[in-house]
Amino acid sequence: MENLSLLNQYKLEQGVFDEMITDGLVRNHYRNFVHSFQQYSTEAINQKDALAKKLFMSQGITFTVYSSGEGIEKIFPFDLIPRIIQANEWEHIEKGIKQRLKALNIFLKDIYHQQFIIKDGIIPAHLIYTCPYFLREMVNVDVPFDIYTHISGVDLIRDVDGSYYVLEDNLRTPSGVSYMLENRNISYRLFPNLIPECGVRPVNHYPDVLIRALLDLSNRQSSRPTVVLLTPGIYNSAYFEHTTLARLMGIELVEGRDLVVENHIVYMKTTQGLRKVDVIYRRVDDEFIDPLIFRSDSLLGVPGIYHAYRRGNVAIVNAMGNGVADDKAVYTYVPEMIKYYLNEEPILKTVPTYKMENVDELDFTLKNISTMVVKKTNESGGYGMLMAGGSSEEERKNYIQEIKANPRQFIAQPIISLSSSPCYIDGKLQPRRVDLRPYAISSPGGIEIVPGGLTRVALKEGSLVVNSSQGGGSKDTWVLLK
Amino acid sequence: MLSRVAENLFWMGRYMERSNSQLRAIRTYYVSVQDGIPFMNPTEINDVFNQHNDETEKELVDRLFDVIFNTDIDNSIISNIFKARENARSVQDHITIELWHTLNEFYLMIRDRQLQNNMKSGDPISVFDGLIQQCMLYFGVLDSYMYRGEGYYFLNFGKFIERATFTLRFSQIQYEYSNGFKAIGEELLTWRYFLFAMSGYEFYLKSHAGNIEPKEIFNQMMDDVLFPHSIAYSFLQIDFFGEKLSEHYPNKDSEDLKFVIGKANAALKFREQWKSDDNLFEFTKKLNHYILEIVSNLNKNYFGLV
Repeated sequence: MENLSLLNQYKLEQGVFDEMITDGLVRNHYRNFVHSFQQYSTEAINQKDALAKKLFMSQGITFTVYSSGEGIEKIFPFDLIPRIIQANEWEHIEKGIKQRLKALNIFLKDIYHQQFIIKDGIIPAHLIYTCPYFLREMVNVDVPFDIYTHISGVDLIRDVDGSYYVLEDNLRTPSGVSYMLENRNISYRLFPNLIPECGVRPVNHYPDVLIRALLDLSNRQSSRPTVVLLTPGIYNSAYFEHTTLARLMGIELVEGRDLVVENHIVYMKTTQGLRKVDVIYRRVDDEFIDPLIFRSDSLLGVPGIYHAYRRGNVAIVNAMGNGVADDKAVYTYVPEMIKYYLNEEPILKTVPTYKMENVDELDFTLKNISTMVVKKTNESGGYGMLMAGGSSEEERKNYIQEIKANPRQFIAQPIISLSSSPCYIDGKLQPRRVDLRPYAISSPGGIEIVPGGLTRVALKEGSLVVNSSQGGGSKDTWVLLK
Repeated sequence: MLSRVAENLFWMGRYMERSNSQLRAIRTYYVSVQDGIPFMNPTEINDVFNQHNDETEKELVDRLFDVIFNTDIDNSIISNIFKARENARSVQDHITIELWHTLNEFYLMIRDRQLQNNMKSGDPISVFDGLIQQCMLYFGVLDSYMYRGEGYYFLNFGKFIERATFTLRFSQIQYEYSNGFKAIGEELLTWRYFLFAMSGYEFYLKSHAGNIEPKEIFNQMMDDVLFPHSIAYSFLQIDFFGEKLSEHYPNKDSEDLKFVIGKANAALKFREQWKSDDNLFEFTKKLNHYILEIVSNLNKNYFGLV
């Protein structure tokens, strides 16, 4: 018997695009899932919900928060209802991301070499030179195959009309891909046979695509160059992801202290002595990667690695200096970059962005602060952000003072409502806001995007902040074959 | 393999073996106290397990609770499991997923409040048994699912170094507590519990049915290669894994390692008969020195530690 009460209880939010329901009806691409889901009793769904939590814990898919010497295990909250994307929509997303990454990659090559985009007056020079993540150390450094953005996790959101907007490009060390893989593994167990029945495209070949891309970067004439994954260590909140990827790719997971540079060649310290390293997939940020060049107090990096990289003796993924393209003020110029470098119209929309260093735009923002979100240009993870609804008068006042003191470091955007997707919370289906982070891999052979990604969800009712650090969770993302 | 990974695997092996040995000893000790014949000094229980805890006035169950569940004590079982898991976490790409899951579940189990309450207000034996069973599961998974490579060798180096150390230390403690080979009456009975704690009772009975003879038990702990908790057996295993390492990577380091393992084996094989307490203590001291020499060799040549 169908459990109709689940769907009947689902109350949409006004003025929000819902992924599952339109005009009171279930969208076509959700129908198979909804039909199967309704066969389960509420009790059975509760059991599945509990099983999902248990599986995450027992498999150690956790964040570890350390206090008084002992780790407190926390799971990244998982919602069992998948987010479903239809085939043609995915095609649009895929094309849009590829176009964007192509332009951003050329931009990074350009900005660290001839700087045509500045000379032609497309982007103001001061915007680049005032970005703290523009690394002068990378100027005139040739990177292997001219690829900077090997791995990116582009954040997409949908506005009330359902159109996709790019929120961030995340070209440095985007995380979360292991949750994409694990969420799928959990879905298989929660809904036996449903994934093949719904015709969902697989995502579990992501590690194969990634290792192929990493191997292709080696300049050594060897069938098996040495590729390693550089992690900050077990205290990093994404450590689970680092171990998962290293294991699935069959490569060494190294920490800074495991590597040493001699004569501008990077070696790892093994039980059999030093072994040359050809490619490093690093999950350590630029500022910590080489204490001789960047932060001298960093214990996470490897002294001398920058010069080894500069000489082309080791490939580093992603390239250093990508932060300049992640700057939220530079983000506003991506549509221009696409037109300038590719002579194409942007496929994906960019959220209208006001630069606070422009007096008119600052005035406009202050007048309309209640409908705006103000962000620091170089922060991520939901930090350093002011959203009118979620802040006190005092906080707003202090924030505005900060903006006026250093306007270059702030931008403002109109609040995009974000689409909602059904979540199973407190025994019933409830709409919660979601975004989507597909993962793209750029290699000498081109750009490949695994069909799916991480759907992050703001689990608090009415919240628009999906970041895990701010109470967000995730759900599996199903891209349909047709 | 990375030196850091090798070292972490070695310590993971040590912590798991330590937890297993200590749990068996704790279980037997608890039973021996219920029988009225404790085979260790009750006031020194924390000391026996190398744990520092000032609260010696506590009741037996509370003291044993601390030995197992007190996270503030460095060598408690929960601390050992935590450290083993931390080591496993840092080498997840070198162990199988099955092994990681088993260890992770062990960690979740030992932190379970219900289990901890059961120790205080329920049946401690079932708590010990549950934890011992989890150890057995770990060793079973290690044996059945872990591929035989460098990682497996270092895990086993850790396991057998720890086992040899535990057997040596525990045999010494028992020897001193029970008046050595001159034990009589109840002192003799404590040797029976000691055999239980070392999982050697059944094996001892095969050749010495009806005769509890401390000297024979002590010899079993030292020399008998058929008894898996004897020092001789541990040395044999260490020798085996040393050979394997040398087969994979024949170099000077592996020759050095084989040499120190050979010295330890020879010292055990060609030992003199016990003539006096001093003679026995001298011997155990020497064995301890050889074990430390093997560890120093691993530290220097494989783990990159000075």
